[in-house]
Amino acid sequence: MTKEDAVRLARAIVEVKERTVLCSVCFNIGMGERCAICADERRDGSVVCVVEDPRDIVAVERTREFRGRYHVLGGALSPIDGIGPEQIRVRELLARLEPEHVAEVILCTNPNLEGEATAMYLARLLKPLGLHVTRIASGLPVGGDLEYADELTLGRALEGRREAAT
Amino acid sequence: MVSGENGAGKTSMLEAIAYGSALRSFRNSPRESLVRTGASSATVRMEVTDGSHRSLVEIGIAPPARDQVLRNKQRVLRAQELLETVRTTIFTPDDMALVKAGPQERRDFLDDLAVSARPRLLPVRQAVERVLRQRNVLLRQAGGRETRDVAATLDVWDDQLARAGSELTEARETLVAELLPLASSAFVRLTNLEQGLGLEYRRSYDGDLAGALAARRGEDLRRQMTTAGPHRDELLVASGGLDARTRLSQGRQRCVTLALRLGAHAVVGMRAGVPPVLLLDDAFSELDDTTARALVAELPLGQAILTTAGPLPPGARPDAVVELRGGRIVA
Ligand SMILES: [Zn+2]
Repeated sequence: MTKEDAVRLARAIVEVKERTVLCSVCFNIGMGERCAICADERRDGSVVCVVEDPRDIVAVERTREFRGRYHVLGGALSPIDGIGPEQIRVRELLARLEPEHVAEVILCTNPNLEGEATAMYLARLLKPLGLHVTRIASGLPVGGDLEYADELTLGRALEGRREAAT
Repeated sequence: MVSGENGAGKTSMLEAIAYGSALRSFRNSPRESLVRTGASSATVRMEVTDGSHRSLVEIGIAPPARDQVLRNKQRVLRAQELLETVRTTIFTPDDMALVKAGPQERRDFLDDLAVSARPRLLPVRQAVERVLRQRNVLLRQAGGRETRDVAATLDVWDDQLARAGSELTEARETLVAELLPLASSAFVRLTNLEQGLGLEYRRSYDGDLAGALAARRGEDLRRQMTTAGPHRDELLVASGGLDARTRLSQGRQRCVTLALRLGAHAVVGMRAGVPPVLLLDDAFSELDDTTARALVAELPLGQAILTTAGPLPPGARPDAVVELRGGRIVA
């Protein structure tokens, strides 16, 4: 790589970094005010899949099983890490429900202890509002796993989602 | 038999074998300390033969990353699968803590036994430990006040604790019932006494755990700790009506420890269909001649690996002797 190439590459990285912002609707990573998924009119706005991290969106998208929209919490309940309901975007999720006519919320938090606790917390909050709240079917037991689910298990988990426990 | 001077690496060798069966150090060493100073990672590699079935187990330890576990070069995704591959029972001279120390030692003993006998309880045990940490931190953060957020999040942690905690407690109780006759008869043979052992599992709450957590929420918030649950239960051990921890002689306490280990070994062997590998780390050094002989006679069939810095225990006839020096096998 010549020196000019290196400089060009560095500029490109800076540019991407500067233009990358969080979507103002779902908090996915995007290049503008709204991310590509929120901007896509063909997506079904009545179903929202709640994930912990933008990387989880990539994983769910790869399964090609889901045509709704997302909401990124930015974490899971974990007092050890100082994360309570205020630190994950719960209020922002609640604010989306009415204007976007959301009918179903799929809780796609990680299949570990904190992810399960977060899912249960949200289910208890959302169900009384008359929403259909589902949880991805986890093929893995809580905790003790050395690795998380791969795409295939995630696809099956989405398909086999069931009424969330409260 | 593994011989060598103190510091030759005998215990580390047993620790490696035990780690390969439980992904946990029997010395309760943090994972960081399993890696030699100056090195970035450690590897445990072992060939396990079970009847005609052979497997190669390889574990890469490089904290803070998760352990990389391979069985026959295939990645093992769940730790419990490894537990089903190889099981171990360990005897050490520090074992007296099992009888003499506080209730935590005996809870750990039961949980180690539970996981070894039923590997699917591993995630349950881990969930209990983790949810307790989360709940206790939340109680401290709350500072005695039950705001709406505190109440709503406590609700979900309580639910997780009630589910995992009840499962662990029931498993412990079942195992205590299985352990009792086996440990008791081993104790009788080791001591030549008529009195066997008494074991009683005592819960820290009445009724179901979910109800107890709800009933004690006020107290838990005030004391900023979880006052009911498997982490507060006790395993009481007695012989002839005397509490083993406070009322038995040192010699008797040692026999209680050995009897509990032998009993646990037998429980796991029955559950798994094959006896675990026995690891005896300098286990005879503190025993008088009679007890040492009785223990050798009690040692069940199956493989036993024992370390010693001195002579062979009386009556032991090893199939192979390995000598360690400076962390290497020299003979
Ligand atoms: Zn968006």
